[in-house]
Amino acid sequence: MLAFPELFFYLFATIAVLSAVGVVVSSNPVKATLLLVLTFAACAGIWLLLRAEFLAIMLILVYVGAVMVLFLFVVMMLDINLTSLKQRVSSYLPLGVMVMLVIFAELTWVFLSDTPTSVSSDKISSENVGNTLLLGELMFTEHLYSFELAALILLVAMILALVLTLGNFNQTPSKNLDVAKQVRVSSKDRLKIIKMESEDG
Amino acid sequence: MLIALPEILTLALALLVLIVDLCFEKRVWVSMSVSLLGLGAILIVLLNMADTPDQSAFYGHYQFDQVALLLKASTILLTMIAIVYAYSYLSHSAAFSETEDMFRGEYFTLIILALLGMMVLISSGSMITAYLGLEMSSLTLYGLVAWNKRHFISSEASVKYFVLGSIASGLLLYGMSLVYGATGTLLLNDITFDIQQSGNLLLFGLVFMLVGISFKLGVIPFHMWLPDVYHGAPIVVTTFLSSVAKVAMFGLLFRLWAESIEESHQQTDMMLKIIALGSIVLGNVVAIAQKNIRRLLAYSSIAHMGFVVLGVLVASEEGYSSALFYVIIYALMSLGVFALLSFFLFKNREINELEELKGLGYRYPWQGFLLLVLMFSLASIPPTAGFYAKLLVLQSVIGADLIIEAVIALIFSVIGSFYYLRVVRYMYFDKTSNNEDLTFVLSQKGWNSTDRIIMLILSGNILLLILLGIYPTPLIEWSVAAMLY
Amino acid sequence: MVELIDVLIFSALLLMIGIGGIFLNRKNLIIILLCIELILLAVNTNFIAFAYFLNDLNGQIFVFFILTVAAAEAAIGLAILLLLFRNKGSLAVDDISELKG
Repeated sequence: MLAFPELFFYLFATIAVLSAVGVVVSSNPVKATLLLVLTFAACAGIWLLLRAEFLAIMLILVYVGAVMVLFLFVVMMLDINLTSLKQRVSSYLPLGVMVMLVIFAELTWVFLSDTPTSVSSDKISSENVGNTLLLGELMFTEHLYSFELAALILLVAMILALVLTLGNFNQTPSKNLDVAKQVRVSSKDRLKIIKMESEDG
Repeated sequence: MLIALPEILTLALALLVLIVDLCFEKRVWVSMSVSLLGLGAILIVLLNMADTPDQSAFYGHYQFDQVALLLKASTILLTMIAIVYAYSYLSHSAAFSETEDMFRGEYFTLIILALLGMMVLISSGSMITAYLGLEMSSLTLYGLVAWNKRHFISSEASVKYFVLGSIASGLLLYGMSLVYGATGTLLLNDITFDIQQSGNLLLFGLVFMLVGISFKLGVIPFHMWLPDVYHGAPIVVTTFLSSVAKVAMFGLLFRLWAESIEESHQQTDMMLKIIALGSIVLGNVVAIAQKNIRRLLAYSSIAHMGFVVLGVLVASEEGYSSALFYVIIYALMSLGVFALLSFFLFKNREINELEELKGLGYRYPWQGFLLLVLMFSLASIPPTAGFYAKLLVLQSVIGADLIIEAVIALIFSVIGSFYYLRVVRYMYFDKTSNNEDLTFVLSQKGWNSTDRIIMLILSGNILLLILLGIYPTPLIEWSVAAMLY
Repeated sequence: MVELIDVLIFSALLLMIGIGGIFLNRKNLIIILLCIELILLAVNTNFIAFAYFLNDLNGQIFVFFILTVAAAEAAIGLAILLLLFRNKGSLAVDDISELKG
């Protein structure tokens, strides 16, 4: 009879692997993205089993919640012609699968030959001091440099995403368009009330 | 913490240029001059730190040593020169409506951020900082390759570069995870690969890391992205990518691979041999068939990087310092050749084919001479610096008793000099047509002062190759001194 | 107790599925991007497993940074994809063969 951690591990692992295969096999990009979300959710469960509580929650909140939603938006916005993408180059299938199996077998052999065995895990997360606090302590002392760099990488992504996609694209931009000036307009600039004598009608 | 002053200043400069560009949107020359002056100041600060002893900061995640100093100084200098070329090219291309939205100040911000990523990578002390520096420079470059928004060839090259680059980063990371599992630490100084002691997990991790590194460096068998990216990217980005990025990737190779392998490199020698010799052979052979000059230069860069890996293969001080010298000289050559080509127009569009260079020697004598010097240097003909670089690498290879490899490398690089000399033939010995479609951008509307300065810098860049060919001792001594542990 | 080797084999499986997916789906750019995310997920799981079994928090810190970079990469990749789509009108990789070899 399997103990609870192992039972959950195998359950989550099976869900993750099956939905990963679904990502690769499915021809519909929306379905593939949703299956990837399922893979991430299952993996978050495994991470919880491995005492990485903060990261598991962050995976769901940030990665699935923001990045995968962004993916879904772009996939749906791009209006891809699905029928033309359904062709699969099936002649590569046997060779590809064989190469993958060979590499997988080698990796398994390496893992079987020397891996460390588990001892205790009190440095990661314990009942008194939570995972988040320990992560925070380490992050802001030892890894401060990397923390700042990660912020810069996000800045780079922001600049690039804006510069590459923002702007008038297929229309020639009007050179006389100054939005700030338009907003600052007041009624005096546009409307002029003239007093006229009424004509006899 | 102040040991990281160059990086901190570069960060401040990037943010400053971003704000300056916001204020002076139409006047791009302001952003350019701010970035140029800032980089000059950072270079001076860096060179003032030349006497500080080797140390590490930030709990070991940041390493300062002489190799890092030399590599960072050369990347900053090359970036300064690349910014000048880029400004000139972009301002001239703003005259054409398809490319007028390339001329923006954000270009300089992104170049400085890429430079920051490379500096972080070069002086990284742990796997985290190496990965973060690598990704910062790579992400910026993916975006810069797509800079020509209206032309599909630019986006296509960027997509290919992005996909293959992300896969390579993923494999590099997998290797890092296995190394972490095997050693229990993220710091690079603590990862030593010992043949007797270390198990298979560490070896596999290092192999996966080598896969990722050799992709980034652009060598066999992961070279597929190079010709497409060199061809599709705007030529200013190719200038930056082929020079500064290669120096930074040598830093990646040195930090992640060379420092870990150190003593016991016999097991991994075979892999490096295949990579080095394969690159030299394939790069030189395939380049002969190329008609597009950018693809030609891409394949030649594969061959040159093969020589760099050959120097790393000889895992001694001599080998590493010769590889370091080689990569710096190559970056200088590459900067010169792409910059020179970017200033030529054929029928009012960029140069693509080799045949468009016909008669260059007669229409523009000085530029023809510069291109001649560059081609001789790339083909390693004395008295240029390229000759000296190859000589040093081959000397160290022979000194390590790898005679066969040296012979193969020599034979194929002589075969390869054929296509460089073909360019020279097209320039000078093709009297069949008077090629009036070829124009040199800088002299089109008459020489004004900025164009003169740029021509001066370009000439200086290229003539430096002759100077370093005759008197390479200072740079060689600096590379050797850098490698003495 | 969850054994280390189980988790390692699981993440190796994910890695192989990701790489195989790229290999098989070379014509479909969105699926390629999703497979890159799968590869990064495998790497993250590896780090977390090693952090647990080596009793060292540094592995989890690295995962933190990999998640950040992966998010930035996804954003840039989608921006570039959008640019390509605008320029070409479709995402079929067959049309993306202007640059040969």
